[in-house]
Amino acid sequence: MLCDLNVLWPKKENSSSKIDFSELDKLLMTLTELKYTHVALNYVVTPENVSDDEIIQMNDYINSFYHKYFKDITIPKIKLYTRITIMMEDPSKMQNVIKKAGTACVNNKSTHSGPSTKSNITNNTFDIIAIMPLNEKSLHNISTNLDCSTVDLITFDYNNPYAPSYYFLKHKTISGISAKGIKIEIIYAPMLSSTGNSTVSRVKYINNVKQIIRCSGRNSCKNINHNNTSTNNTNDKNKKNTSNNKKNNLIISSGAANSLQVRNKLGVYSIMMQFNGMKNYKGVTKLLDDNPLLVLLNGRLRKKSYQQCIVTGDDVIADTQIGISDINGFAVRQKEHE
Amino acid sequence: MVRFKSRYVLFEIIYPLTEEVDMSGLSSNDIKLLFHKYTPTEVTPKVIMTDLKKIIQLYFGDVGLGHSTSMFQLKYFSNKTSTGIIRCSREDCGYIISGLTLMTKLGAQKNMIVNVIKVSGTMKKIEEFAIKWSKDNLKQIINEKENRLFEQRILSITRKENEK
Repeated sequence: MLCDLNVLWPKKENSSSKIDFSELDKLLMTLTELKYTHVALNYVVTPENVSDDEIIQMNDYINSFYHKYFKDITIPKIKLYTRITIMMEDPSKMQNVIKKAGTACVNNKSTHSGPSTKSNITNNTFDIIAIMPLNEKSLHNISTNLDCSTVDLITFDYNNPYAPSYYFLKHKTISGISAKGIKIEIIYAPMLSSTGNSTVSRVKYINNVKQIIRCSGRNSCKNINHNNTSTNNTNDKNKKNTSNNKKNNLIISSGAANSLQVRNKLGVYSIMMQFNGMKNYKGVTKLLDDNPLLVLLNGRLRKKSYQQCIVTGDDVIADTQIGISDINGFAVRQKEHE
Repeated sequence: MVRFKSRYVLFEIIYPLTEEVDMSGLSSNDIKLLFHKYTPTEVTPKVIMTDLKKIIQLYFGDVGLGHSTSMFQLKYFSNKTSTGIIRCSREDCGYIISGLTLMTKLGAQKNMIVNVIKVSGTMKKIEEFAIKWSKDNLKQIINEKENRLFEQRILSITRKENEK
């Protein structure tokens, strides 16, 4: 099982022109060739321009892709999901966008008073909701206001080498985010896309990734145990898990826009080992299969569960069942057949 | 005396579809065959060695190149299947694996990915794995009915060889 939760959705050149999907087709076929199983298409927006047409177009594309290329039963398929990442510059504008992308609300108080209960059901389209904070203020806002019931992932702007230099990430804010069950994303495509002698972008990429790995160290996992409000039975399990695993709150994905920027499991491990200092093979591969599945499961719980804890149905966790014993302190149990 | 320990790296060259290729009308089998093309005869073992050394020089500098090329041989490469095996020392095999993954061109050949499949301690095991790997790839392409006939043919060949 291999996951890649960040394949870029192609952008329009003009507002009138159509999107060219041929590049995306080729990318997804290379991912099947490299034995990936779960892939999410990433639609990047700023709070000002969120269009409903794009959402409908995404679901149409996924259906047509299967229809075109996977007629044979013998060839293994990939599962496609949709994802939105919102560039967050001003925290005050965020509430409307998150509502539109398909969650209850930012604050619990406004769910009861707000009129948006009907529109939420129709707009529950994206499987994963991610946020890209562009300054320190917005990152602080995520750690204080948002929950795993509204946001699944947090990414950073690794791709742009000339972005304003990164603010110093504090250990406390990152541990606060991970204590809530929100995962943090690392991308490896900037290492491959920079060609020739453009060493500036590579140096900056390695610098940024190192900083994030430093913040999400072992101590951040200890913090979860103190803040956890789950039941006594699951609490003991949690302690064992978190003390052994060092980087529980990270995931790795490609962030590719081109079919030449993707690598298989061993390739990703070698990049992470040599350049970012992750030396444990099992630890790195966990960030490619187990942790992304938890993100997908969290997204599904957000859409279909009652307050993130009870979901019923036959095929609720069939895909992500393997190896997952608890999510954010709650136990996962299969219904016994009578 | 302590024995010198080495690692063997199995890799294959994959050709992702470029902008010129038209995907319309192709089935998934045809696309899979396009990925596993034969490499042109210009790409010799010597070209692969020099290009790998260049990339290690670019990313890891003089120290990395010195470490990695202490025990560095291309044991096997075939242009028809576009797979190969590299031998290197155990301590510094990380340089070579990451050098292979960061490759973007071989000689004049562009639009390719070097896909590292397996790292092993002995030549025998990696040879067995390479045969199994190529068999599995072929099985996916051939349909199920033909698949059984194909297996029988392979088994009969190996039995005859053993009898001899």
